[in-house]
Amino acid sequence: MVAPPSTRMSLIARLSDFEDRQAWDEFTAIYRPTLFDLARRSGLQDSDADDAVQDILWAVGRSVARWKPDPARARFRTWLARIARNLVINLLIQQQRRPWRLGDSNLQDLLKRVPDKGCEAEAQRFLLAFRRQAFAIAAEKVQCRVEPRTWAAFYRTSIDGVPVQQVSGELALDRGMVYVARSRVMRLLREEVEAMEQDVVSDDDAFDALIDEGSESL
Amino acid sequence: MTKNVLQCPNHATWQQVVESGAKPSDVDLHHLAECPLCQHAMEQSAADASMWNLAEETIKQGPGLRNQERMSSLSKGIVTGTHNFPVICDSRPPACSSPTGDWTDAALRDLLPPPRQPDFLSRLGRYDVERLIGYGGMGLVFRAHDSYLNRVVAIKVLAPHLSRMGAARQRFAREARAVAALIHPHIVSIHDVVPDGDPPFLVMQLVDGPSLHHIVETCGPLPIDQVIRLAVQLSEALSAAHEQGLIHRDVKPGNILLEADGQRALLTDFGLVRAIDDATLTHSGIIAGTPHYMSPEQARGEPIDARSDLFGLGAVLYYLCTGRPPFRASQPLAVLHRVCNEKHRPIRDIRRDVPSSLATVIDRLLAKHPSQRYANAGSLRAELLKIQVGDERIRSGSVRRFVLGHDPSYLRRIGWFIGVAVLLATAPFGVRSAWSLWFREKGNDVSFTTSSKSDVNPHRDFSADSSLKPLPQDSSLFNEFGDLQTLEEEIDKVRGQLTLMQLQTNGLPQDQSGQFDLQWQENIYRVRDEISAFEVRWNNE
Repeated sequence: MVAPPSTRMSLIARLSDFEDRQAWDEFTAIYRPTLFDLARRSGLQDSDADDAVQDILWAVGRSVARWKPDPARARFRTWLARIARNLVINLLIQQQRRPWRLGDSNLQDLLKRVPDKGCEAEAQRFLLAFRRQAFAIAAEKVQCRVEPRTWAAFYRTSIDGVPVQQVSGELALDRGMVYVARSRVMRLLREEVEAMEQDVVSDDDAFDALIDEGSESL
Repeated sequence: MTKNVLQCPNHATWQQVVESGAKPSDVDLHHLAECPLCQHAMEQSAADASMWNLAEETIKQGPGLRNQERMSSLSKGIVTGTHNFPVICDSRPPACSSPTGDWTDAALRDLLPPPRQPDFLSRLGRYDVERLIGYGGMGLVFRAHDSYLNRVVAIKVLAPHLSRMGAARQRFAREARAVAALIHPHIVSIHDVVPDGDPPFLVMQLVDGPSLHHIVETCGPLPIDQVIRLAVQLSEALSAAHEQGLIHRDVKPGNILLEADGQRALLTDFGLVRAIDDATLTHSGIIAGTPHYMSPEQARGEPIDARSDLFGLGAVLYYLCTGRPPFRASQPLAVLHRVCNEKHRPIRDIRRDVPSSLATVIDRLLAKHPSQRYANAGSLRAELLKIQVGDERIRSGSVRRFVLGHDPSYLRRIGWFIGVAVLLATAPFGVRSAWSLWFREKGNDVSFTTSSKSDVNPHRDFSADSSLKPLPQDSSLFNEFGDLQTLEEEIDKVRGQLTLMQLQTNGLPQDQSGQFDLQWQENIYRVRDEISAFEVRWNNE
C-alpha cells in the first residue's frame, strides 16, 4: 500500500525518487518479518522482538536520511539491502555476548561495519530467514498474477501434498497440465524470490567498496 | 509424423513450456502425465529441489506474513469472550489480501438480509450494502449506498453476539443518539441509527482513509510536526465531546481515521464502546478492546471522567511518535498491570527528535492519577498550540541557515515560490483579487460572499494588529533578490504570518468557519509543507 507522502516517516519522505520510496516500502515489507523471525529465534519474547525490530528499522531509517543519490555509486535499493544485511549479520555475531536490544549509537556503528568474510554461518541464517519471507511475499504476488486454476494446481499438489491424479479431477484439468501449471507457478515464485534476493546475495568485494563509499557520510 | 508416447521429448522442451506459457502438444502432455523422468525434468527447469521444499515449508504456514500478523496482533488487543474479533479496522486493504479476516461473502449473506439487486451484499433499510470494509470489537463496518440521498456511507452493524442482548441494543441506541448531536470537523458524524433493526445498525460518514494504527504499522512513526497538528485536532474533538458530557472511553489509533491527504484526523466509534464493554464485562468478565490505551482508572474498573480520554490521547501520541504504545507486554493482563503500576519508558529515549516540550505534555497526559493530567482537553489544546508555535520558530531558524549558506542564483530560482507563499499569506487581508485568482487557478469551488470576513468575526480582523500588516504586493520583490537579508526577512515574515493566522483560524468557533476554514487551513498547511520540502531539497543540493 502506498500511503500519502505526508503520512510516511519524514526521513523516508526525503527520498526524492519515487522508485527509492518504493524500494523502502518493499524493504520494510520483507525486513520487518525477517528481523522478527530472527529475533524470536534468538530467544526474545514477542514484545521484546517487536521492540528490537522497531529499533533496527528506526536505525536504518535514520541512515537513509543521509543517503545521497549519485549515479556513480550503488543504487539506493542495493545500498539499503546491503547495509541492512550487514547490520543483521553483525547482530547475529554479537548476540552471543549481547542481547538484541541495543542503543541507537550501537546500531549505527553496526550499520557501518562490513562483516568479516568468516561469518558464513550467520550469513546463511540471515539468508534463510530472508528467503522464508521472500517466499511468503512472492506467493501473494504470484497468486494475483496467475489464473485461479493454475494457482490451485500448484497449491494443492505442492503445498497440500494432494496426489496429481486427485487434483486433476478436482480442477477438471488434464494430468499433464497439472504438472505444467504447478511448474509454471514455481518458476514465477523463483523469479520473484530471486529478484528480492538479488541485492542481498551478491557477494563480491567490489560491491563492499561501493557500500563503503555510500556509507561514508553515515 | 507422430511421436511415440513412450519416447521422452528433449528436456529443453519442458523448459520452454514452463517459460513461454505456450500450451504443449497433446502428445507431450500425455507423455508428461505418465513419465516421472519428464515430470522431474520439468520441476527442475522451474526451480531446484531446495526451492520446492522451501516453498512448501513457507507457504504452508498460511497466506502472507504470519510473523507480521502476529506482531501487529500484539497491539491489536484481545478478544472478547468466545468471539474472536481482532480490534482493528482497516479501511484500505492491500491488493490481493483480505482486510476482513475470515468473513466470506457467504457468511455475511447469512448474517444480513438479502439484497435488492444481486450486485449488492445486502439491503438494510434504505441502504444498499456494497462490501465489508473493516471489522472491530463491536461489529462489522460496510461500505453502503444511501438510495434516497444518493451518497456513499459507512454502515456499522452491531456484532451478532451483542445484538442479541437487549441492554447492549438500548445502549447502542442511546449513545448513538448522543453522538449524532455532535457535529465537529474532527469527529466522524453519525447520519442515522436503526437500533431495532435486525441486525441493529448505525449509518456514518464514510472517511476515505486508513486509521492511524494502519498508517504507523505500514509507514512507521509520523513526523513530529504532523503529530502536533493531529494532537491539536484531536484535543479539539475531545473538547467538543466532553462539553456535551460524552466520554469516548476508547481513544486509540485504530479509532482515529486520517483523510487521504493526511491532514485531517477524525475520531470515530464515539461512546459506542460503552455499549460493548458493559455487556461483555457482565457476561464474560473479560474486557473488550485493546488494553494498551486504557487509563489506569479504567483498567481498575473505577469510575472514569473526561480525563480518562486524555490518558488515551497521551498513549496515542506516544504511539504516533515512537511506533509503539507506552505499555507493552505479551499478555493483556500484564499490559493492564503496567498501565496501572509502571512508568512508561521516556519517549526521548526511543526517539530523540521529540521536542522536550511535547514529551512533557505526553508525560503529563500519561500521569497515573487523573488530577495530575490536564484539567480538560481545552487546556491541553492551548499547551499544544504553544508547542506548535515553538516548532515554527525552530523551523524558521533552519531557513535562516539555508538562505545564508547559498549563492544568489539559487535564491532567484525560488523567487516564484516565495511569491506564492506571500500571495497566500496576504490573501485574506482584503486582497480579494489575489484570493480569487488562487482559487480560479486551483479550480476550487468556494464561494466567498461576505464583503469582508472581519465584519463577520472580530477574531479575523488581522489588520487591527500592526504586526500583521500585509506584505507589499510589489512583484519585483519576488523576482529579484539582490540582497540576501531581504529574502531571509521575507521568508521569516511569511512563516510568522502563516503561524499566527493558523492560530487565529484555529480559535474560530466552528459554526463560523465551515468550508472556508477547512480550505484555508489546508492552504496554509500546503504552503508550509512545501516550504519544508523545499528546504529538504535545498539541503540535499
